[in-house]
Amino acid sequence: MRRHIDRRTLHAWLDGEVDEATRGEVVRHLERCAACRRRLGDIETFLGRFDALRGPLAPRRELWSGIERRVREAGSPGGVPARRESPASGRRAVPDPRRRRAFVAVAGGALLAGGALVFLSRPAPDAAPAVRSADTGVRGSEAGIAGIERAYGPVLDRLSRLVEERSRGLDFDLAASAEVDLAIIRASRQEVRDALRGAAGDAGLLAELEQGYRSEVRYLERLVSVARF
Amino acid sequence: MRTCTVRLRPWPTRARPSSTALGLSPVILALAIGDPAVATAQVGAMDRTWPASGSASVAVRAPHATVRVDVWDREEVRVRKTDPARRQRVEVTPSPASGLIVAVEPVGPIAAGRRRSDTVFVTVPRHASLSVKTYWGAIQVVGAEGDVALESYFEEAVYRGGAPRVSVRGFHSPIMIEAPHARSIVAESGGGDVHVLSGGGRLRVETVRGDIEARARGALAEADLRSTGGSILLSAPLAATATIALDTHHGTLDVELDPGVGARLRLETYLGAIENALGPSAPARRSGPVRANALDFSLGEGGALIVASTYRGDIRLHRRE
Repeated sequence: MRRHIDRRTLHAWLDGEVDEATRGEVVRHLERCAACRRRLGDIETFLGRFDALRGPLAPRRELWSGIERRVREAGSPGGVPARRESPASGRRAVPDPRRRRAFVAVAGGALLAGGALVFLSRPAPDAAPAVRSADTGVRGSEAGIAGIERAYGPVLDRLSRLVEERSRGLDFDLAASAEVDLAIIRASRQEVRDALRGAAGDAGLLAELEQGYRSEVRYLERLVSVARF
Repeated sequence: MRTCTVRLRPWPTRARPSSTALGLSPVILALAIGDPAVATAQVGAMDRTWPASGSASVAVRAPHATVRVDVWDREEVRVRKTDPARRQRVEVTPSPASGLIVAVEPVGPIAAGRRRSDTVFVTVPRHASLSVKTYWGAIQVVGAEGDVALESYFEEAVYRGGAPRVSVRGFHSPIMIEAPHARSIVAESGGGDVHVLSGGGRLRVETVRGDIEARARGALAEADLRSTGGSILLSAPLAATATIALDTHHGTLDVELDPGVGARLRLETYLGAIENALGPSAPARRSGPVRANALDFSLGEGGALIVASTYRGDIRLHRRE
């Protein structure tokens, strides 16, 4: 074996899933190739980290209820009630931009502070559905976009990293299917974002944009649970 | 914001989910709950029954098999499998605490890209609660009347029966739920369509690429139906204070309501049209930074709220037949 060993073969070799001839070639190549030994070390480190992550990973927390609770807490006098309506919320969204910013800050803080919130379970069957308000107050688009990105960005980053780390266990077809789903979610969100550009502010579109982020978070949560194989 | 990229790196050599990977190892679970019941393992064809223990709950984990479940009026669980090639091993672990655990695993390695599609038949007491999880296989459950939770990643997941609560989850799998007595239904898919018939109560459905068709025989109290690429149809009587949310990006929204329904409706589409057979027929062009077709009006005097939003699709309100 004169060329370097490709990553897939290294993984297969580690898993004992190569035939006898390949195994011998891999061993001989590793004996004389420092680059491949380094790559092997990287993979072993990664696998160790992966295995360490597998078990106790998930202090399962409820993302949405956690956010909503913090928002509700902040929403008592001077704070911010949830923007989306629910039967208990009086079905009135918050039109005040200041409140919106506070919402974003509180939600973002909650997301950041709760490190483990990345392993959040899906909303419970009996959770109140989120209903989008059509008359949310108007906000500046750029500020609104930035606020939403600040709130959801860290969670998406964490979930994305987790999926990357764990996706070695994903079946090829499932991975391909997930890529298509995520591409659709992101393309749809980008379309909304493009529509918002240049507009002074549109509450409905901002809510649509936020819905796009929520969809991706929920999808990645599910993907993480699968990638725990 | 840092751009989130998810690079899925499929390595087929690692792609052989086991029943342990699917979240349950019978022996480990039995030991963990202090119930070291003796597991029965068998390779090849089988047809055996076990007494239904505890609260008559049954968990089936079969990564590489299709699972078909039906019911009978006996306090026993029957597991059948025709497997002349002896490719699958069935392990059954009775547990007073957690019911009967049925794990079906392939014997020996499976080459990358190969799938096995054996079928396992399970018959459970009619009132049993049921949890079934597969990876490659389909799931078909008929008649179980306890709580039902199904998870299939690629193949169709079907439930028909009188369960009060049903949860079905998939990634690429179409989902069909016919549970006319259910008061709580959750269905999630990525690429599959979702068809639901519920008894009313609470309903939550989400899919990315698929269409959603949701019908209810009893009054819906809460419904949250979301798709990104698909269309949504909702046809249901509504509770007086129902809260209904419908949202899609590319698809059309069809809502069928009873003639006498009392509800406030807020409808909004950015690139589509609104057709309303129940109220105002000329949707206002909503003013604002971004133009959209929007309607906000009330029907009757009820307190239900319906919020429907789509970016590209049309919204159509119909009278429910």
